[in-house]
Amino acid sequence: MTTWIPWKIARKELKVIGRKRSIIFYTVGLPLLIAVAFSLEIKSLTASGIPATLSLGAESIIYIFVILTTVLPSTIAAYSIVGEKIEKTLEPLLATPTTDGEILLGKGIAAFMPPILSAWLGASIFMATTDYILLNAGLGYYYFPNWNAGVMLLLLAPLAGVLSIEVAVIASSRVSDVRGANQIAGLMFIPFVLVFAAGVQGLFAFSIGNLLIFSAVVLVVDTALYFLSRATFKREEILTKWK
Amino acid sequence: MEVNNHAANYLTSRKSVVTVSHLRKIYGTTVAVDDVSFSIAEGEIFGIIGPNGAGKTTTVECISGLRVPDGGSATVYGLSPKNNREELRKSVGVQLQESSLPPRIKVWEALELFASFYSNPVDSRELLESLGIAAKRNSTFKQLSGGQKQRLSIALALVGNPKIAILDELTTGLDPEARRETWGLIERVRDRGVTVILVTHYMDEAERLCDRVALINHGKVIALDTPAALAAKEGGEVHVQFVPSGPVDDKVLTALPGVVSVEHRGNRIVVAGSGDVTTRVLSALLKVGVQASDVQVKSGNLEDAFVKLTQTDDKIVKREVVQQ
Repeated sequence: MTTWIPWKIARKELKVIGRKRSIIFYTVGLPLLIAVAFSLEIKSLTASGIPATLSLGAESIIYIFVILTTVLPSTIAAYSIVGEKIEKTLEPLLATPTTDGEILLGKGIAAFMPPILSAWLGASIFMATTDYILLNAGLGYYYFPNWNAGVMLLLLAPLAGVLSIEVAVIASSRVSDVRGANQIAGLMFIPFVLVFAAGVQGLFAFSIGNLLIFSAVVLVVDTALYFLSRATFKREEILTKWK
Repeated sequence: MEVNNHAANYLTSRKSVVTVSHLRKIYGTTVAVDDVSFSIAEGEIFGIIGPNGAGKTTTVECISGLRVPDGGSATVYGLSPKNNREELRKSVGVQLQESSLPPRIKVWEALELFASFYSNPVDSRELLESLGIAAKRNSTFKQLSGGQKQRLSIALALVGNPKIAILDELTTGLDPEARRETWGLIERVRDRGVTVILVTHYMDEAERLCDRVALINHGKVIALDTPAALAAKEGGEVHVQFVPSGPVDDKVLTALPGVVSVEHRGNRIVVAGSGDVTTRVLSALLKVGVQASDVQVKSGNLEDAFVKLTQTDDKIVKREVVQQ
C-alpha cells in the first residue's frame, strides 16, 4: 500500500470537514466547553481548601475527554462514509486506482485526527487551569500532568477513537443514513460511560493498572473490529448494497 | 444478435483494446447481465445503448473493475478487471452515472487529489483549459452549473491520462445547449487518442458520436453495428414526399424495386420503401417526363431501430417466460 495516498485522501477529507460548521462546532467546541466548565468547577471546589476527593474528581474529568473520543470520530466517519454514499460523492473515488484499504485509512485518519487533537487541547487547557487553581489553593506541586492522565489521553483515548471509527464503518454498511450510522456507532459510548459511572461510585479506580487493562481490552476489540470493518469496506459492496 | 459486416470491418482494421466475452452478472435472483460479448477498437467511440435496467451500467462497471463478473470475461489492454484491478484502473478513466463531489470541494482541489492517484497525470491546468472551465478553478463544486459539473467529471476521468474513458450517461439532465457542448468535448477526448465507451439512452447522441453501438436489452447484446447501418437495416422504411409537375400513374412507382406503398396527400405523393428508393423514384419520374418539386426524404433513424429491436426482443423474452 502506498503510504501517501491515504494521507492525500485524509487531507481532502479534512478540508471538506473543515468547511462544515456543525462538525467544527461539535469537534472543537465541546472539548473546550468541558475544559472551561470543569475548570470553574475545580475552582469552586477548592474555594475552601483542597478537597480529599481531588484525585477522583480530577481523573474523572480527564476520563470525560476519553468519552468524547468515543463519540466525535464516529460522527465524522459516518458523515465521511455513509454521508458521501448518499450524496454520491464516494463513487468517483472508487473509480480511481486507489485500493479499498487506502480509502478506508484516509477516511479513518480524517475522522480520527480532529477529535483526538481537540480532546488533547481541551484536556491540556483543563490540566493547566487546574494546576494554576490548585497551586493558588496551596497544593505545593503540579498535579498535572500525571501518569494516569497520560495513559488516558495518550493510550486509551486514541484506542477509543479507533474503536468509534471502526464501528461507524461497519454501521455505515448496514444503514442508509448518517443518523442511523451515528446511532449505532454511538453505542460504543455506553461501556465507556459505565466505566465512568463505576469510577464516580468508587467501584472502579482510575489507577494506571486498571487503565492499562482497560486499554488492552479496547486494543483487542479494535483489532477484531479492524478485520470486520476492512471486510465490510469493499467497492462492490458499497456500490451494490450500500443503497 | 445483429452483427453485420460494417461492425466486423471496423474491428479488422483496428487493434482491439477491450474484449468482453459472455459476461454475466447476477444480483441475488436478478440477472443484470446475461450474456454480453463485444470488442472495442482503439480510438473509437463505442456506444452502449439500451432501455433503463438493461444492464448497460453493470457491463461498464465490470469492464472498469468496479464489479466482479459472475461469469464470462472482460479484458482491457489484456488486463483482467478481476485479477489486475489496480493496474487496469490506471488505464481507464471512469465517469460514473449520477456521481458527484462534496459540495464544498474546490475544482482545483478535486483535480489535484485525483491527479495524485496516478503516476503520469496530465497537467490539470491544461485539462481545465481544454474543457473550458479554467475560469472555475477556484469555484466550489456546488457553485458550478450542470454543464460545468459534467465538464469537471470528464476532467476527473481524464486527469490520470487514461487510454480508455468510460462515460456513463454523461449528458443526462443537461439542457440541449449543454448537451451539444458536451458532445464536442467527447469528440475532443477521442481526438486526444482516448478510446471512449459511452453509455447513453439518447439515440441522437449515439447517432452523432458513436462509431459503433451495442444495443443491450435484458442483459444481452441484441444488435451491434454502426448507427447508420442499424438505422438503415432496422430503422424502417424511407418515405419520399414530392409534388409532381403532372399526373403520375401509381403503377410507375409501385413497380419500382423496394417500393412498399404509394399514397396521395392532396397534391403531394408519398412513396414508402426500402433501400435506395429515393433515387429510383426520381429516376422513374424523369423517365415519364414528370418533375418532382419540394422533395422531402424521411429515413429511419437509430431511434426507430432501437424501438423495433427492443420491442421484438421483449416479445421473444415474454414468450420464453410464458413457455417456462
